[in-house]
Amino acid sequence: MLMIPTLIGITIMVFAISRVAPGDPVSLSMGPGGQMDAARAADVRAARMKLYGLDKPIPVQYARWFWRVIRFDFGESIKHHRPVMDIIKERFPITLSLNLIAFFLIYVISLPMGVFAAVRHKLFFDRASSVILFMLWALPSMWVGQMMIGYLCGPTFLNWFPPAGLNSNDADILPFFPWLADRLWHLTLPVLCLTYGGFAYLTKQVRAGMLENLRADYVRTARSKGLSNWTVVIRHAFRNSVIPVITIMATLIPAMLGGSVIIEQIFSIQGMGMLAFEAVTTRDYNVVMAVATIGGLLNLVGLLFGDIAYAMVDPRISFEDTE
Amino acid sequence: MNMSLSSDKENDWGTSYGELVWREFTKSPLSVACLIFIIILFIVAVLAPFLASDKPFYIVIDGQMSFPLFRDLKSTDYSVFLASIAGIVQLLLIRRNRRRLDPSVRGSVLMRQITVIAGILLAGIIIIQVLVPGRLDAEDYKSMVTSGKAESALFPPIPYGYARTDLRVREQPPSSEHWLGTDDVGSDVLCRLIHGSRISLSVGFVAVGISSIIGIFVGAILGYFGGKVDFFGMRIVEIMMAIPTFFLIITIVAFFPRSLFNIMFIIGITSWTGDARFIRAEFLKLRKQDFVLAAKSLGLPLRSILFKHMLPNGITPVLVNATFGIAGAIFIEAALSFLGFGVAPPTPSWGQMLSLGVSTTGRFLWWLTLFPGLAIFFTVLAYNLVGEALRDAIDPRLRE
Repeated sequence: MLMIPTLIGITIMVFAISRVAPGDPVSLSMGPGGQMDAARAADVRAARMKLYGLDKPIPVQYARWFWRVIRFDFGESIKHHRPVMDIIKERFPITLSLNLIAFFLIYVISLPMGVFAAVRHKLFFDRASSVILFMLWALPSMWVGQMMIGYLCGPTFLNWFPPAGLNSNDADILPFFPWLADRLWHLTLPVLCLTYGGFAYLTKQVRAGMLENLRADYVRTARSKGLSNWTVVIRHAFRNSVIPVITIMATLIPAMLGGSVIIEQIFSIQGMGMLAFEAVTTRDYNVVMAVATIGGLLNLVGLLFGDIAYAMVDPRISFEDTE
Repeated sequence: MNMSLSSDKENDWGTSYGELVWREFTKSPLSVACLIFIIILFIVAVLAPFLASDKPFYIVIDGQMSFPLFRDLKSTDYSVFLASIAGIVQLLLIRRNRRRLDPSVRGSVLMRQITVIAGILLAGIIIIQVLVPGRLDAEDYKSMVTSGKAESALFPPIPYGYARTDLRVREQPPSSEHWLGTDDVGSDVLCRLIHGSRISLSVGFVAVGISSIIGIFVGAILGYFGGKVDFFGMRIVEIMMAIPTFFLIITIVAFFPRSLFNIMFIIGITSWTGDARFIRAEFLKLRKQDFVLAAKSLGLPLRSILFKHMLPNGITPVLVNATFGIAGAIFIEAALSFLGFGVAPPTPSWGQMLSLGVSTTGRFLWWLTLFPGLAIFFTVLAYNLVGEALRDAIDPRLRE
């Protein structure tokens, strides 16, 4: 039940950043002075400060902002002139689906691969996969994305994939299955870009965990009982090395959220990351604050799932008693 | 006989921990190669103005010799030189310590040396920033040579300035003139890559320095005091960890003005949680041990207990973490610059160069994508491999 203080902490931090920063929304929305004479400008300024509640002391401002935030009211976007929440409702599912697919792929590929590499320790598969994974880990995703667009989507080289967006222009009139195919075709490259980093990282961790467990005494016992190799690997060693893998989930989620800002920008996908990017470039304060808060919230949900999965996998862990 | 033996033995203290780790580290040729690559990168970054500049080393005009390149060095260049000299001095001091000093006092002497050198460095940089005037030398020395106005001149190997624009040769693919092509305003890509290495390396180092200091400090306090301090402190650390770092960085970038120092600072203050957790775990283990109790009962000040007695026992994971942290910081800086939140042009940065790979007209310029990307890739790879090798080297279970 640490979530509530953590959430409050996140909102305080986001709010503090926005208030410590030089300049305030009012002077930003009024633009450079000059059209109005000074006295009137001061009047307008005071009126607007009052309108937005900026004349109150900062704790009061925070309390009011927080009260609105827990009802998911983030105010209005300065750029779009619409409630921030409406925009986020449009954008959020896109980012979520993108990340969930990538997340699923990461786990589906890297668990067997890590196990296999550990079983074949120091043999060809292990060495080759280690080298490749290490290189994947160091590849900047924006570079990969851009190279993919350049070489696989352009007229200059191969023209296999669409360079931008989530759908073709005529996608609205397509029946379901062609629509799905079209969507998947568009999603391939962005998902690939999102996946490989986490995939490399996770496989390394699975391999390390497996190696540690395979050296342990209980594995030797299991082997000496005459159990088959795969029973030992899957039923005994793998189960024990799953636990750290779940913990990694908590570190993967924020990394992927951050990564989707870059990926969405490269492939011009209208998701949360793109929204954050646009909001930052146009200084759309309400949107920036909303995206940061919701990002933190998502992350917390991920942590919570991690904890639940943890308790399910490892019966030794319970949340009732504290040591 | 006896005398010579004792004088022989005088400096034989056995193998120290650092030497052990070093020997283990150098066993793998790959990690040594990576270390050499990083050192070369540093040399390139330090000597950037001598490798790539449109000013000649010397030029003779009407029988008069002048040195435009040296005259044009900026305060940043002098700061970089000073920093590299300080680094080399520190390395030499470490070598000297190893021969002259008893291992038991080496740690505290090293700490003192680092503090003194860092102090001198900081003061020197401030003095340089104040004293060295910003100068703009817009003279086109190359045309002087081609028009025959100058009798002789010696240019650096890559005779282009990173801020010099030339719209006649914009978006040129690699050629014998421009080895790695030119960008959208006609600047030489190789030259900008060389100068961009400074940004990447300095961001890596400063950001990790900041995050390590915060992490060590917070972790030390939490681990040493334990109990309530630890409980509430860890909650704050957990809050920090629950915030998606990249989103937080973008949020801060949105509200604060863009500058290199801001970026270093932001990366530093958002990535200290890992170090804090390492140090805390280590200190929780250490605080009940005899040597800590002894230090406490001697009435030593808290500062001395924490940082002189306890910290040397828990610093190694932080070093490993720092190596990975540098790679991570270079990554984040490149991503920020790629999105356009990095240093302001014309200062070159690898990420920002990468973003020019797709021109405004939608053309894909492969040389502007490939080369900066490779630079980021190899640097990050080298740091990661060094980190990995270091981690294996300090792991006693893997030692034979």
